[in-house]
Amino acid sequence: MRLQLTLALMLAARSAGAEGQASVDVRSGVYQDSDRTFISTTTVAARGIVKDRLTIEARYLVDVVSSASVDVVTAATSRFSETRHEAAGAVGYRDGTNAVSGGYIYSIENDWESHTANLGWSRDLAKHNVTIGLGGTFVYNAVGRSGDRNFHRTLVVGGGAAFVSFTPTPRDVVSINYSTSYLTGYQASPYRFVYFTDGPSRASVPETDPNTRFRHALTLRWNRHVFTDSAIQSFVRGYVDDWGVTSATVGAEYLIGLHDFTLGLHVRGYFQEHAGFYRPVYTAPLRYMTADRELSRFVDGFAGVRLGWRRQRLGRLTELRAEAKVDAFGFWFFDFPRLQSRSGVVVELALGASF
Amino acid sequence: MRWLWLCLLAGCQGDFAQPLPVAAVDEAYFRCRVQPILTKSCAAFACHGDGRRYYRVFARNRLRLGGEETTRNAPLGSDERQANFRAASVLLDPVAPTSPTESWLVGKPLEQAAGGLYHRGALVFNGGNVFGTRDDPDFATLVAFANGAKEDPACIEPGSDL
Repeated sequence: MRLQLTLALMLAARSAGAEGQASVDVRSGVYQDSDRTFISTTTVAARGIVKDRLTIEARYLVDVVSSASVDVVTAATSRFSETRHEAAGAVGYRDGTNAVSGGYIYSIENDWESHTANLGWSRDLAKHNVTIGLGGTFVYNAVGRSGDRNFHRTLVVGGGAAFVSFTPTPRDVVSINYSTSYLTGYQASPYRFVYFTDGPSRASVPETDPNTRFRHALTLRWNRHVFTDSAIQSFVRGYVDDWGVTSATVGAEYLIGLHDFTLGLHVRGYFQEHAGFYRPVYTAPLRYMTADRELSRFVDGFAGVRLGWRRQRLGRLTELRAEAKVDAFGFWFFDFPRLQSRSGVVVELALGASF
Repeated sequence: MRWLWLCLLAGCQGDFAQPLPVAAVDEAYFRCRVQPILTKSCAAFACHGDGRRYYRVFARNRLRLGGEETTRNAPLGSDERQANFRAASVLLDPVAPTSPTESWLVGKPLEQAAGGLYHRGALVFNGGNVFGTRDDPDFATLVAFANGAKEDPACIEPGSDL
């Protein structure tokens, strides 16, 4: 969040001081892929600042998913649609050197309910050239099964993060972030079954993942101001967990400021090695068996463009802003027999105002 | 940090080659007591007699493992009997076999009001689930199988033409 703020300052310095005491933002997006999945997401967020120190935020999100993907069809269902609602609230305090924040998120859909609590702290050092921070999160999930009143499982997640960001030169912001989380509880899908060959026949079992998972991620971000009014925002991330999944992500965005407009061109690539218990085909029943393509070996790539616009002092408004964003993506699965690839687009529109 | 790199280089995963723990159930009991219930209540072509289903049941005049149309009504072969037994066994929870909500084989055909699990078959034909209550004698047979009930290995399977 702090880096995003820093970049915004780099790109549009004149907007920084014009931020109002209250703001409202609406963002809506659609996702469509070649695996017959459509998602519509709309978010409404409001933010208020009290005496320049206390920030109060509230957000509501609704997701509508309609899918007939290979996962759904192989579960003997032709198509499903579901709606997820999410409400979030956060409070933050900053005194110019220290910042603390706390938040709560409640999310519900027909087969999942979750409560998330977050706490964060950061402190500026060395004349605001260095920021260090710590964060923690706790999530309680109640997992159900659509139409099933007697299927009840839980998944509890505890996580933590530590970061340091600094400005090695006036044009650069570098950040290193380590995050970890520990999950315990039900982590499979109650809708997925896994085949295994059994002599001349075959049988199936409900998907079974290990009950615990320990995850670690290390992210390096580097934002650099280039030329007169543009910046490059880049990152590389490494991930490992005790399921045997390892992954690497790289991404970059080139942002250009053009008067009231900001144009961004971005790419992202991801490679993942499959979980240790994942098999394209199981030749014997194992304790842990999964048909989750997200645990297989795959790569994905995203590329897109976004155009932002902001104008200060429009009548009673401190600021009016808008953004349009289009991404195209592709996934290539190397050892998931039911689906070799999928591609799609994500389109987002946003509108916001500060008072 | 060093531990993280060691994990990345050498792997920090557990032992994932362990076999699936399977409930200790009796093959003869299944063959002579449970198979007739599955044939009667589960093996229709529109249900688990469809070879594309995750859980499928081989039965006379229903789904067969190979063969031709002229032999569809022949007694089950040993491969088919073994496949049915195996498919049922792996759907039992080896830890809590008597709890329907923990065992797919027992919980699925039981009406949810009686503690069963969601079963699409109860909705597709608009006729309710296979077992309306836990008092159904066929349901009691399934529970007994899950609990390890035994039968004389020389028992004669109904429908075996013996």
